[in-house]
Amino acid sequence: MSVITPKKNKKDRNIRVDAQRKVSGKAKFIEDAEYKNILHGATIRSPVTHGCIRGFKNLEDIKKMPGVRAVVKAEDIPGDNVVPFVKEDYPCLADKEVKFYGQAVALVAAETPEQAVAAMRAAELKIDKYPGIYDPVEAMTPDAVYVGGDENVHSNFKIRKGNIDEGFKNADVIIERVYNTGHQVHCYLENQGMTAEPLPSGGILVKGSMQCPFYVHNALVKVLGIKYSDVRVIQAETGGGFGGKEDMPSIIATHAALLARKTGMPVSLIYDREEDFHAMSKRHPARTRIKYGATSEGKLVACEAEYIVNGGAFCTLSPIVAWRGIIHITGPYQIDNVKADSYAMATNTVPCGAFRGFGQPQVNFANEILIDELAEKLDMDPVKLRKKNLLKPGSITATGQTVGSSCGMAETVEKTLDRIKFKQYKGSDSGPVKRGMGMATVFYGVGLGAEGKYFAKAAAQVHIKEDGTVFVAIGNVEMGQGAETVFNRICADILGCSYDMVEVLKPDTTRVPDSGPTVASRTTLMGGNAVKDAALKVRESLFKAAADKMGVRPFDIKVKDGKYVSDEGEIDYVDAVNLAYQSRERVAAQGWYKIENVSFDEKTGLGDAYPVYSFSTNACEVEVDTETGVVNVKRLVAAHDVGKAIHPPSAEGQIQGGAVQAIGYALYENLVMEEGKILNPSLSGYTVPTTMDICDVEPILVESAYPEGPRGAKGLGEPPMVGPAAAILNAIHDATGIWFRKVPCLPEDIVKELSKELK
Amino acid sequence: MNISFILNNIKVNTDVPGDKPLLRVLREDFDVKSVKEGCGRGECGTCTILLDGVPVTSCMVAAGQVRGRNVTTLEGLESGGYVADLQQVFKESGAIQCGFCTPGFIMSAYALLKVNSSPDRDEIRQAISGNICRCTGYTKIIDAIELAAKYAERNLPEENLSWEDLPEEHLPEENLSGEDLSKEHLPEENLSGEHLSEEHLPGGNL
Ligand code: FES
Ligand code: FES
Repeated sequence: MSVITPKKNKKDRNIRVDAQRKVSGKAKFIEDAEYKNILHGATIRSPVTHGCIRGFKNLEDIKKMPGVRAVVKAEDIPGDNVVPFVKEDYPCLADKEVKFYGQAVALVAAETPEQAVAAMRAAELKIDKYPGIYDPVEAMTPDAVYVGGDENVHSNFKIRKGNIDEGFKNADVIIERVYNTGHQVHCYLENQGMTAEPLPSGGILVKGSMQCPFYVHNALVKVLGIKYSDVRVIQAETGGGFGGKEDMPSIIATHAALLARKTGMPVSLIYDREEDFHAMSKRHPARTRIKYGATSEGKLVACEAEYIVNGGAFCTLSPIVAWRGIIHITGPYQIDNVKADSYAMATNTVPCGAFRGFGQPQVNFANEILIDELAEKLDMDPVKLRKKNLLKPGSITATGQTVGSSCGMAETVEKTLDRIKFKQYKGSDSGPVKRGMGMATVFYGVGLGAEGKYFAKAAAQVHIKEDGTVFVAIGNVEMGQGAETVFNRICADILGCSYDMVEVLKPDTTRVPDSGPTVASRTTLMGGNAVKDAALKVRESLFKAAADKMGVRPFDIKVKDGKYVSDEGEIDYVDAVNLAYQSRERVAAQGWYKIENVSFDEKTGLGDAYPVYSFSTNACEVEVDTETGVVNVKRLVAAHDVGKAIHPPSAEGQIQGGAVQAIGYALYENLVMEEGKILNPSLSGYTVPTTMDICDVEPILVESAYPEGPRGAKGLGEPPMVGPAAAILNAIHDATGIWFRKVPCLPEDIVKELSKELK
Repeated sequence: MNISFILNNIKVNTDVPGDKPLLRVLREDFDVKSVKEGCGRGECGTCTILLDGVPVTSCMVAAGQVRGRNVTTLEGLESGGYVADLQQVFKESGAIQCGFCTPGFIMSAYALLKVNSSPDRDEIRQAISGNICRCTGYTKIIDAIELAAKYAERNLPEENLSWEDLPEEHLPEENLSGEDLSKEHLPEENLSGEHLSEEHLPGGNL
């Protein structure tokens, strides 16, 4: 029997399991779907931001256009006309009222994509226009146009800890500022897309680009009015998500499925970039007001905050975003007196949803700039001020939660500042180009926390074949972040087989129980633990078979270098598999992981908000050209406490990729809206960073093992996006002496402020 | 419109509207799926191919424009050891996340290394500045290309085309028959993994 050993070579270990299919161009994204007879869908959308649809002007003409096979409207929906998210307010197709520009009104299917688009373009709707409201703060005023929610509030949360008035009384210095952050567009390189195919059984098979197959499954059940067992959802290779493929795919899937049901044929519905810009979710623009009170020694004694986000026309995931924002709004500091409120407002703009960081980049941007400004007021070094207040094991968070032992906050600060050789320039450069340094610290609650506790579970299956190769089935997806590799490593290391023997299957909702969504940096922790549970169960069989052979007890066996070793000898992994097969031991098992209920009181906002936190520190050096206002980020160092990195190159890649998205957020990405309509729906109009805009990002992995995590790992996907924007704007202040309080911070903003300064 | 051109060293022929984007001709008429559509407007680079050796975004090239010319996609490079090395360093360097941008980057990197065997990081940045990657933050992609140049240093293909003096001879009519396609368009196959010694392999600093 051949000897199989885990790959020792670092070079091989570094290679992700999905790398080969991607580097060869053979990975099958949804646009690569192969069907002989497939129809192409297109979506007829609202041309107004608010109004009432009185029907089509030319429906019969459209139906007769070349190649057109079907038109589907709201009244054709067999089930409920609603795509279920946190609330059930988002119609699958607008019935009467449309609430944002680009809202889906009807669908067409035609023989070619061109014919579908031609029909879609030809469609004319009869619409009564209503006045709209586009600003979340305006939406709060009593006479504002009603859009949705409870008096235009999709949701609101609060935290009341200690005694806020007493807190500010004890403060020697008080500082209060308002910060504004704009929309951010995901710009995953692969646009959204789905195919739907009627099944002979009467059910529906949907494939596509997605983060959350089970959300899609639920939506299909609801909209088609069919049984759970009549729906099958398979994730296709997914070209980036960043949160944008969390909720939105449910809409596209139901649309494709409606057309497929109506025509009895497979239908492909793939967006182009412009449509994706107009209709898909964005990062919530926000207005964040924070007020800190501190003693003259620099101890933070009170924090009052208000966080208002523009949720857009429908609620989607706004509550979870607003909740995550408020939980983290004080910054990673122990502050005894906290009063905070957050509001997700309804407006006639495109619904905002999940985007890497999930409500946290906005508040971190505010609190981390404010802490620097407070330091200036206290005449104290901003690093020193942070260090006096930062969370450490045993500290109490804003919600009254005790920080656990896995807290590498201090270490991330040390390592980051050390690496970048942190010093402040204080505007000392005399020429037109001035250098500056800035930093920002971050804490990040892993998973969906108390607000999404329903999802705090995951399932997986591990199944060993006769030659020792392994299938892992799990409901969490690979979307570029490296989940497949993480599951592969966890499973292979437990079983003691080589990495190339473990294949992680594409999620299929008929094959694994609901593992919850692939969001909130929860996948390594939740899915990883489910894989671990299943792998350990199967390994018991192998241990038993090997133990019988060696004449020892199963618990005398250890896995070492691909062998099962006891005092009485050793057996290769593959031989153990063989023995298990011969003795009819169990070779497949279901794994399950759930997080026990945590205590959290919605009324006070106090309790254990998340099972565990990740910590990170970002520091950067910038050059500001004071004549043109152009900012160059010369260096960016980010240290992240990840618990334990299961696949270090992927962990580094998450840090680098997230940081570059944050550079874009801070300096370039400017979505322009006029009266609720996006004016620059393209990658040239809305510029994401290219290689010419960014520096190399230097990642540092700090490991402070989380005992509950698979191999000590916590979550990492989102934190890299959270901190850099504040670090960059703090560095711009260091260079120019000006506090900027909005992103994107564009050259014209900088030139404008600098010229004021001169006057 | 009947259009003949050379696709991955094979003479091909198709009947499509002259203004159909080459990207769609490749994907729909020739089933070449490594060429991806990220924007369809020349803004993202996911559809990068080589047109007579020069990287272009195929969504911005009309089918009529490629008549008689040489179109190379990732599929066409795969027979050469050189691109295999490039792919290998992308894998080893962690330059791939979602992978949607990857074929486009490989094409741009390939074109760069053909004309500049030892680019510095700024030259690499410049050469791939038309390719957007939303996942990796670029650092590891630049690392990979830098490493590929090191791999290639000793064994670079002889023929070194510079962008300016590329065209005419390689252009149209005269070499339209499949047999006549000379090997000169292909990199020499002397960079297979075996020839590379351990010390040139990335160990990473992990
Ligand atoms: S698809 Fe051609 S450049 Fe984006
Ligand atoms: S790896 Fe996803 S866009 Fe580059």
